[in-house]
Amino acid sequence: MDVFIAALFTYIIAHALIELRAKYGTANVAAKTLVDERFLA
Amino acid sequence: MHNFAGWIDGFPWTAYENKARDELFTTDINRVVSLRGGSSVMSMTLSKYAMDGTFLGFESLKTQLTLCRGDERVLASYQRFGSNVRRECTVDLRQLIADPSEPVFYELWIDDPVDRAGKERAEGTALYPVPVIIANYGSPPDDAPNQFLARNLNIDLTFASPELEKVVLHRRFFLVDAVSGRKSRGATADREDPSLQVVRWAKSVILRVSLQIDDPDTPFDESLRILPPYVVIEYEQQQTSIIPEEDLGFGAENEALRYAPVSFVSQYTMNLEYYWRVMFILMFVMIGLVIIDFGVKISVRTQSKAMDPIGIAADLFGSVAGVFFWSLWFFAAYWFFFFKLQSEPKTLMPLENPHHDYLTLVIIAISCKVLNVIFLVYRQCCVDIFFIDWEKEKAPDDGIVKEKAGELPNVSVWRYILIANEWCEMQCNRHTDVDFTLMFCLLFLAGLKFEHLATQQPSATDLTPGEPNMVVRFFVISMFYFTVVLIQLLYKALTYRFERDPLDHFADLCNLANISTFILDEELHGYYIHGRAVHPHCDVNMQKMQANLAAEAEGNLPFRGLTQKGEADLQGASDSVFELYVTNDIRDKYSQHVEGALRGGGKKSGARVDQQAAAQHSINEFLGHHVIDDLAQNASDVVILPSIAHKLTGAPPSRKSESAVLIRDSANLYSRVLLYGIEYDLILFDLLVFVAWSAPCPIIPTCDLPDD
Repeated sequence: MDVFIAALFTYIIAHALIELRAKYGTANVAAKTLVDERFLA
Repeated sequence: MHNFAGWIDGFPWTAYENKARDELFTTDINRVVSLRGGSSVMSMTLSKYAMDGTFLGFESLKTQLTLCRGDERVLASYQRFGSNVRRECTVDLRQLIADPSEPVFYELWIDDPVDRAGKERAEGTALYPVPVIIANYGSPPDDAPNQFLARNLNIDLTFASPELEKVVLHRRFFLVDAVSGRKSRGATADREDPSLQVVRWAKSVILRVSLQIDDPDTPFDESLRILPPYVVIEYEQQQTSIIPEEDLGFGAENEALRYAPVSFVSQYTMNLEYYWRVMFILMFVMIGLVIIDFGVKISVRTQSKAMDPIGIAADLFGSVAGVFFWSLWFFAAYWFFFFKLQSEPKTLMPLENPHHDYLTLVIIAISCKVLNVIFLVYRQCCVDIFFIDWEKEKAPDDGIVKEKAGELPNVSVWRYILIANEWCEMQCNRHTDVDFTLMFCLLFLAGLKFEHLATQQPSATDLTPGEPNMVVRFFVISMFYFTVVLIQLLYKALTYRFERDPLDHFADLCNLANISTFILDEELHGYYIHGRAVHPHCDVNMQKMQANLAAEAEGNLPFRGLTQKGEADLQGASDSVFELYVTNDIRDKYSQHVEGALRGGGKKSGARVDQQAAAQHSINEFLGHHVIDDLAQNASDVVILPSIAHKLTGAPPSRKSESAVLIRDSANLYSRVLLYGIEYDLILFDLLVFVAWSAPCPIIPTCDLPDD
């Protein structure tokens, strides 16, 4: 396989992981600290 | 000649009478091979014969074994010892059948001009015959002794291979036969029709050369000498009637019927029995390391009463992935350094590419690392976290704070929101930048063509494109990946040291905001960042804030921190960041508060907002004034330095009394609930994802599976 394809998929997966961590991590902070999620920009 | 049985009696010598094992593993050939100089070229000779057996003369072997055409120098590069090359192309069957010339039969010889005594061999014995294995010889399924090679041309024939018992060796071979497929006049109704019915050609040709094993009883170094090379040929045939007449474009439906794929492969190998024996032992060492690593983690979890199944699964997959990855890396490093950087031909690669052992290890490592990271991130998204606001309501001008029943203290929530936002921003930051890493990896691997370091030539300076060895490729990719990552980590370490460490910065910000961060990542384990300010109020205007900081700088205020000790007393230990071990009682009460606050979630009605605000205040009061204040009052007993066992394994402190314990944390271990803390796991994860997508089957489900 081409290294460019490998780099593309690695980029997508790595960023997807960070996005998921940000989304669910923020939701967790909002729930546990009782700050409305709208305040967590 | 070399006294081969039956060569003269049955002349022309078409097949060997002796067993294949005796012929293929004899040590008669004396020529010494090397990777540099003249002896690195495998000089071979072809004798040519016409269809009726007429001898047509000798010629040096160049590119005659392949039907592919192109740059002769590139096509002949397989003759350089150790160069495993693969040439694939298609041949136009219409052109083959249009050629009226008779097929040429070949016999291959390897030049072996000098005997062990150093004397020139006599004419006749200076050429050593090279046997041919015709993979699809015979009539399958009952009479096809070489059929196993047709199923998998990469099978290595070792001395112990049971298949050798039945292998039949031949001498003569051809590459194209567009004559014998003509209808014989007696067999056709139309006696005048000599039309060609079937064309045959060598679809796959493999030249295989193997090193001898050194015999310590002789004064010679046999490991620099070769066993008799042999050629494996698989023929293909096709009826001429179905060959399309018209020129076909790329991707046309019947393309393969007209343009037949052919391949030529050179394989240089050696007996790797010793290597596989060491690998077998190392496999048990690997399993032992996994058991030890996971055992230590489970032991710590048992002592910490942290038997969360997802945490245990994350630890298990992390242990397996870590041990398998690093074992694989060292195996790959061995092949890279000993194959690519060798000056004498001492180490040659196994034929199977990718080797099934490599595939097994890499698939286990990838699967376990993916599960490990998913579980780690999931657990990070579920930690219990609360920000303790220490700010008190400012007294009005008369100096008396009048509390009204049911009303919360009149303290601005913006500091709280600021810290929550900073935390959210920080929780998905990483020490290394994936984009930067991938960009520079592509620069090295593709831009500067260093990916061709993984080709199967024993030279680290030859960057000619070619089929890579997957194990060496794994090492080459990881080598550049780690180089880029390490440079970033070094740069970040310097910036954290001399500019700003984001984790220290967050702890400072907590102090400025007069807010502490309380985290529980396990049932009874967590982290505490003490942010209680030494100023009466922090919710003030800029002038007052600057005045507060100036007073602190002048030393007019107590030291920051939980125990408010100076740097001389702390001796490098932190007084702001702690690892926290709470009691069951604290945990239960905290959980009750949180459950109470979360109960009745849904629409934000007025009553619901009041309830949540009250719950937040009650958690704040409980953690601040009942947990942290208690700990601060008993600091001499409950605030301790980490033991060596704790530093090494994370083992909990031995508790003399049933109280919570704070361990000073000068390494900002609270990063373990952030992506910062699992950077090592993420680096391996990204690398293994890269390797998985750059590898052939069966890691990638979209590409073709091998024939076997």
